[in-house]
Amino acid sequence: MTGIGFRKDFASEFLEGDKLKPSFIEVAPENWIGIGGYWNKLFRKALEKYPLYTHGLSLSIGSPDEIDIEFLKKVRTFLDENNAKVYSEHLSFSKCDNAHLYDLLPIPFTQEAVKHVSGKIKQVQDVLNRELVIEIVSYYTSVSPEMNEIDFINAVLKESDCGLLLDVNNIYVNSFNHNYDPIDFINKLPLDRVRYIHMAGHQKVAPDLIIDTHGEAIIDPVYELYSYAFRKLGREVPVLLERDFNIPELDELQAELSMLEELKNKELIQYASA
Amino acid sequence: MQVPDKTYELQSQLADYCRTGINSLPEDAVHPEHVKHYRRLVYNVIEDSLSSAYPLTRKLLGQESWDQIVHEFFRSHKCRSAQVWKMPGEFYEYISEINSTLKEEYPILTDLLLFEWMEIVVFMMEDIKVDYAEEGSYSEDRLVLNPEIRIIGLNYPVHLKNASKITAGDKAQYYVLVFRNPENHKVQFMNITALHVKLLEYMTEKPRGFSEMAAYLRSVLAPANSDNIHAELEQFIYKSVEKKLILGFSKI
Ligand SMILES: [Fe+2]
Repeated sequence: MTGIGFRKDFASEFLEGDKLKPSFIEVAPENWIGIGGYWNKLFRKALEKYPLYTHGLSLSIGSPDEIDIEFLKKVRTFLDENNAKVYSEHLSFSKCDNAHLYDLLPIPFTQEAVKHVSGKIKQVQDVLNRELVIEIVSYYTSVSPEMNEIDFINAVLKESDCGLLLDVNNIYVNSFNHNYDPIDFINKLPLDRVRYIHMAGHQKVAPDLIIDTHGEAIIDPVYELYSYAFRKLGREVPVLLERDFNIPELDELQAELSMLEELKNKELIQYASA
Repeated sequence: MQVPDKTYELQSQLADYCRTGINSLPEDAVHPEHVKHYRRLVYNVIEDSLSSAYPLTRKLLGQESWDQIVHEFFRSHKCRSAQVWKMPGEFYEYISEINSTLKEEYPILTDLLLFEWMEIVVFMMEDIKVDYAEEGSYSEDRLVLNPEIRIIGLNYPVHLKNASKITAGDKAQYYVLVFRNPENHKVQFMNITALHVKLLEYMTEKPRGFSEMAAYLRSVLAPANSDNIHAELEQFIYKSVEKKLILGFSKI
């Protein structure tokens, strides 16, 4: 199953034509909650054809602030009403001191943060009455780390007992920016927790820095890492292609979806026959 | 839930830097040279959202003043909305409340912002279901008003004239009806009078019939101005039906 991020930039062309044929769509609840008129009409039309996966933006699970329960309840209603298959969010923070920043900032890899974030994930799972699937985000610097990224992530996953969104591009970006082996990183993750996979393109802005832009095509080393992830997983996991900027012709996006499907199937067939 | 002190401190420092761009960088960043990208990415989201919400205001102010006010807003204001598309509404509120030389230089500023923001509010507002019949009698039946509307009051005619051409001499009380066409979902604007405002409020309460509306108008108008009520009301209804401001006839 390969899906596409449902973006306003191509919503109408996508729904009217047949160039792009995903198995599901993904949206950020924040962009569609409480919206009527033209966009709601298109969203309803999309939901008639495709199952919905969701990927939140503003929950700010890693924030020092309390969870915004009122907002979370709106998310719950949205997920339930639209029969969302998955609710995923970022292992980062986007709100601090009661101010939203609308972007993903890195949580310090500290023992305190493990406890705090895990408690909040549990709280969210309780309110939503469903599993939260958290995504490992791209980051450009860590701040005063007490432990490695992998140890931080694994501690949070263990303590909160939540699902994992494996964004293969993010792992590639992080391994480049922070100079580690992405294969080794994947090997250390609890892959039985993976519920969802993201794939995307990125941009190198300096010799030692890649920014996770979702504005380019997926590059070969990320495809290779993706194949490796399925070799290890050995089972079906829904895969999403994220493209937020610099949107190409829809047949180019379809070519990426087909490639993702093909590479995954190749690995799963080999896994089954081995 | 207890907020851990040290971790909180680190996060607060980073967030502060992203919002203001002026505080010192977090001391313990492993790659201090990369921290500026966070500031850039965060600020871009804010600037992009505000630029696409307020193209007319941005054009009026020019790039330099625009950047300055956007920067000041993001530095001083804590954005409350979890939904980024609603954030420009906080920008309008912020500008309305502050004392700024920019407001003296551009007296139409808050009106222009409100006008642009209302287009978004009405375009995005949740669908409001309303029951009505397509067929009926304009003289006998009660008329159903489109519920997807907002009315705003302005001091300058930013809805009638190009913002750069508006002068102090244009200052007056204006009312604008902003409504969404239920078929094509486009937002339309209508310059209306204070009397229209009263009439629309009256029609919003519940569907009203022609004679009921005429009687209401007579009750709020001085007798000398009541002569043409019937003709004017007919004209208003005709125009409203045409523009889908009146949707149809009440079934009950
Ligand atoms: Fe992702």
